[in-house]
Amino acid sequence: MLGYDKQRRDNYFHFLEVKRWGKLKWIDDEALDKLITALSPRYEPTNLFVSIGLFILTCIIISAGVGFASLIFIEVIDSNSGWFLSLVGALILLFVLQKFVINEKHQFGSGADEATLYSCLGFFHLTFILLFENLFDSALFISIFYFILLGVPAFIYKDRLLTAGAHLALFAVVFFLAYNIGGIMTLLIPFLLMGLSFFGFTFSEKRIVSSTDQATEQCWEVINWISIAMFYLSGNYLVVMELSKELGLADAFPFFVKILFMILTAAIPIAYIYFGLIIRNLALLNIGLIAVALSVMTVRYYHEVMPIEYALILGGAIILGIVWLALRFWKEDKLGVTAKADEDLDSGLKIESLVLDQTFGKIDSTNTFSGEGGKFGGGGASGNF
Amino acid sequence: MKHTIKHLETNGLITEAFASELKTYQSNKPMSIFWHIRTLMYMGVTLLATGLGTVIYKNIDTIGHVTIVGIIGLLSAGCFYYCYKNAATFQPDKWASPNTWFDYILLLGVLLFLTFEGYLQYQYNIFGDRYGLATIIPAAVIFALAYRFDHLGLLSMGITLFASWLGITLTPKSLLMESTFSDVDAVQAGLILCVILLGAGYLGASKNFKKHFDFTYYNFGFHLGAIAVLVATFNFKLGWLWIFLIAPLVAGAFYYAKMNKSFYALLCAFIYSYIAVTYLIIKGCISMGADSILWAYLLLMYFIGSSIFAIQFLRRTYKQMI
Repeated sequence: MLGYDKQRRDNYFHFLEVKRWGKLKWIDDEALDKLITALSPRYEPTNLFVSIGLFILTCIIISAGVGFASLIFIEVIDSNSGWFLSLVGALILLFVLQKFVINEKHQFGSGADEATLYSCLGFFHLTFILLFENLFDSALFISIFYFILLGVPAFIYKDRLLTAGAHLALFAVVFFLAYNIGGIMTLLIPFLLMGLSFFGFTFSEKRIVSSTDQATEQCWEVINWISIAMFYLSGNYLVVMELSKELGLADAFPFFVKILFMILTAAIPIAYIYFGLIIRNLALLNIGLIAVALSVMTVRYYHEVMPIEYALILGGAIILGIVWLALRFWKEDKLGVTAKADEDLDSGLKIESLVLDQTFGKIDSTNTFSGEGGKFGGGGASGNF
Repeated sequence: MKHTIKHLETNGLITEAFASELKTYQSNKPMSIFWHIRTLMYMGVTLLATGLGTVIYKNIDTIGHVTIVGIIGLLSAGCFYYCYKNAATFQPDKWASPNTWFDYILLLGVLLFLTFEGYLQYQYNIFGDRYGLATIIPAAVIFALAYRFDHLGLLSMGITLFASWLGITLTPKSLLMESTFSDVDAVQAGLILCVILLGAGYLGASKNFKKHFDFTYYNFGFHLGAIAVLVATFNFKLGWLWIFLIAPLVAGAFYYAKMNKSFYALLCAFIYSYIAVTYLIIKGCISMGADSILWAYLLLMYFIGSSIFAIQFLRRTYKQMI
């Protein structure tokens, strides 16, 4: 089996969600215990800080292990094709270790599984570079290589970091493809990237809705976020002009196209914030706010409208003014947006209906649930489970 | 959430009514911009205070002193007056801010107060050559404000200023990249500050006086002490003798982690203790004249073995703590 066990991974996410319900008192402790028992088998969640520790330690084990093996096989590595065999050997061992960590130790998102996966990819990367060194002179080839190297495991493992890397590599592929074609295509690069971003955004929006599991949805969310950010960056005046200079196309863009980029630089952040609030899209809103800061920096890069200290005071005053207006506007919830904290919203939910179905016992045979399902028969009539 | 509802409903684990209620809640739930508002407020206050500070810095000899002092002082006083008028009476426990603006107005007041005090010292030399006073007085004011208005951000600022009074720059960059602990005196000052901070945290927690401030005190104190000990160990002659001072710190952090289920404290304690033990082992190897390949093998085996042990330890402790 490549990748993670789907049932265990799905139950991992269900477990986290059900635990949240329990914390919010949407369900009582007894119901929580029953649901947790029913959500088996699953990967066990790990705390973020523990994951960081496990990631570092696994990296130390791999590095020390590779160093140890290198010392033992130093003569083999030094021989003609020994380096290749050593790298392939290390790759196979790491792959076996990775399978052991996932399949035997049932690790998912614990840091240890990511460390082994990324190490595998690192060794594969190194092997490929040493084997086909001359191919790595082409930026287009490198982009395609990274797209495949990151994209395939991203698809198999549903890993968000790899998904982000693969998606960025796809942008690089389009960029260098157009650049290599040359001529008018070079000038069309910003628009091609914007088109790709727009496609990525609309496609990922649909996939987020239609995805059947949490891990896939999270990966599409990453693509969604990157697409939104890349759409802005592809049309940002500073990015386009400075990249054009780097590519020797400083004056290639006609005046009206430059004006268009200026308009895009100013308009996209505002559009993001507007649509973020209207369609309740946090990704648009967050990136829109960051884009405002980047657009201000873009303007200041070319035109120092006022000294920095006055710009800071004015910026601070404007921001506080906007906050004041926003707080007045959202004194009550409007447009499906609220100034209240998420936790306050969640804790305000009053669940009056019953949690467990009276047919709970029936699923015992199809699920791995081992609790006394019959005890819940008819449960809930009291209104408080 | 939608996948979980669907899964539980499909498998008959929740009633249709409950599932429908959750779905309705999810689809009707408004989008929260709580953190956006707070981030923007923080940015606005910081930009405003930085801008005003820069105006003074750049125009210190050109604008009338009284005008500048007056404006900054009045603004700062205005902020404090607003906080005083709107705050509830002092409570030794945690209390919620009266409104969204309160914490940020207080922060703005303090930032302006620091500019005001710095300007007075630069221009009128109000503390003379007693530069320590120019640091300890604002530190005392900020500590008092942090306790009066229950502000963790101000507490951190107060601790940082107090540390600078002792000659220690308390920023992650300065602690890790620069030679903050370049001599024994600085290390001793760091350790004294560490003891004071840990003591303040412990006292507050045990006397139930602003108990929720304890993590901030412990966090600063623990990192400061551990980094001071490690820097002394790495740089001083017979430095390895210093390393044993890390043991009580790490033990305290592990105890705190267990008592408060703090995985952050667990990770920090683990990292510092791993560095200390590894340093002692490598130092021991070097002092034994270990320059053969055998030692390289042994050290690599140590790294593999210790990491496996550490992984088991972390996972076991995690399971005990949850």
